[in-house]
Amino acid sequence: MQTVRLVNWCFCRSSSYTFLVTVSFLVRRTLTAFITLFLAAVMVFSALLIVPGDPVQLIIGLNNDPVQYKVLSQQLGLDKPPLERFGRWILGLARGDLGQSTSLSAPVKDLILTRLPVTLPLILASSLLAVLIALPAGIFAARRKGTVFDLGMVLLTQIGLAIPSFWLGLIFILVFAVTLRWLPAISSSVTWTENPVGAFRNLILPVLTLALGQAAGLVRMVRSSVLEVLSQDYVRTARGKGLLESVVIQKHVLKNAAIQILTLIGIQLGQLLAGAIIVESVFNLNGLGKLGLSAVKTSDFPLVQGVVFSIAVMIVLINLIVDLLYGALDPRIRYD
Amino acid sequence: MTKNLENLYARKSEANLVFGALVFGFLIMCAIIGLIWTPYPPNAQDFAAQLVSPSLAHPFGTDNFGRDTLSRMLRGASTSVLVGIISVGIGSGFGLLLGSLAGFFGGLLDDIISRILDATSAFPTVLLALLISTAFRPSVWSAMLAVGISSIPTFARLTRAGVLSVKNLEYVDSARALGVSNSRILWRHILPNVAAPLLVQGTFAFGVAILAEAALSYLGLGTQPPQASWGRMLFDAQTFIYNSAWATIFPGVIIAITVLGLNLLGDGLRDRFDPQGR
Repeated sequence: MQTVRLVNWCFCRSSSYTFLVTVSFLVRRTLTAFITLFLAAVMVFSALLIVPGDPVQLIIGLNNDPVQYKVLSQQLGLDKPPLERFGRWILGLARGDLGQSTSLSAPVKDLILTRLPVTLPLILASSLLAVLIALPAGIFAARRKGTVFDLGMVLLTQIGLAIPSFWLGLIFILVFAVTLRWLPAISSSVTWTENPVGAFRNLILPVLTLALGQAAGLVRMVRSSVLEVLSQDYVRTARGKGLLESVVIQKHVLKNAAIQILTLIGIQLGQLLAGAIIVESVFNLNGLGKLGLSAVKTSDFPLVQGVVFSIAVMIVLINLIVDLLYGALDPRIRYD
Repeated sequence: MTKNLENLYARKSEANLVFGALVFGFLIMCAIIGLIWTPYPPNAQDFAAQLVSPSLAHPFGTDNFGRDTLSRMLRGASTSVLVGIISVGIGSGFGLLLGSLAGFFGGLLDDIISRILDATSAFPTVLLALLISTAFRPSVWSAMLAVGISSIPTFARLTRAGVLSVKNLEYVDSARALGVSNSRILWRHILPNVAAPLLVQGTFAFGVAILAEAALSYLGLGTQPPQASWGRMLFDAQTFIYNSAWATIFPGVIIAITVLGLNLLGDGLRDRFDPQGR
């Protein structure tokens, strides 16, 4: 009895126990992410099932050509029962095959891959800019909690959250393109390899639009996580030791707030993916969002489903990575 | 917190509440006026008065079809309020149902509902709108459905957390011991505790819905022409941005003020219900 207890005790205190707990967390968390993805796939698939009436008729419209009808319904797999169709679709997804677009007659996957070089730089640059604005602003507001500066900053973020991103984009066009004539109102279709300067100029206003809206939310979150750390005992101790305030902020506050802020950046990337759809439309950027919107107009189900599902996959994966990093970065977090 | 700081925060949340309530009241008033009377019929075209700058006859100017911007903004307020009511209705209704089932019964049911909510949150509103409007054709109804569905997870998680926090308290146990039925315990003893956070969330969701409807209509996934909607007005205005800046400015300012008002109202209500959480 005694030895068993002793062994148990040793095992619990040893790092291999912690290791096992961590591994079981990683496995569980990854499994949940896959269940979420599966359910998301079910939801995306159901879009074709809930169509009132005949989806094929919806796509070809008034053009009543029996041959085209047959080809299209075969292409959508509508000649087979829903369950078999779903099985094939899921197997295709697992192989990275998103089906064939009905309006652009090309594989959906290729269409999406050609648009990523537009959308990804937009999102990454906006995310970076939003963080660069929000970090100093949020920390500054938190350190001056309750002052006019803090209240002003909070009000400013409220206004930022209320302004629609597409309207902010329109105002930027009005100011920088129509009035000042510094930048083009509508982006030209140049690629990064052809004309890097032109591609960069195309991105300036869209990135500014997306980043400012995003920064508004981020400032509030940075402010409250810094405030939370500032109220901890170890911060009081550090101040009590007579450390310079700048040292307290850098060594104690920021280091601890960083983990929460990392989570925020992860959440933010997901929101930016959605925001990009709107902003691409304002500035006529040929990204994923424009692809999805044009697919709605032509009732191109495989393309809409492919775009929606691939963005959902990115969001779920980003959340998974952030959750896993969270534990890796902060040894205090235990999973049991 | 020092006395001064506490005073400052109390005054701030009081101001939020008053400003938010005023904006909300004004919005509802405009929505009702927009339904019964507008200076001009909102869809009436007047080709003698295209893209007119603000004047006495047209206080907010006219658009490219010579339609009066003020009249269209009043009718647009009705659209926004309708979208707000229906989508918050969908979100809070299903959220309350799923959240209380998950929280009250727990176990496998809780797991299943939680996974479905996770999957729903993987789709931002715009993505849901893309799916739904491909299936049903874009309309103000498909937009409401998308906005409503994407707000379900937040309402459901709030309800679930609220139910979990009170379901094992003694007064619930004693009600159960008295033989009160599950549905009555849930409805009479548990859910009233969730009412305040849900009301606050409802206020925020109303603002989100108005913002989302404007964005979806701008993208062509919401209100269809010639129906008036703030987002659609901005889409039309973009084509004529070089000729008439007015048309770009007014609807945007109104959207921003409305959403700001609703957010501040939500903040104010939250502080009122939960003064500790400031």
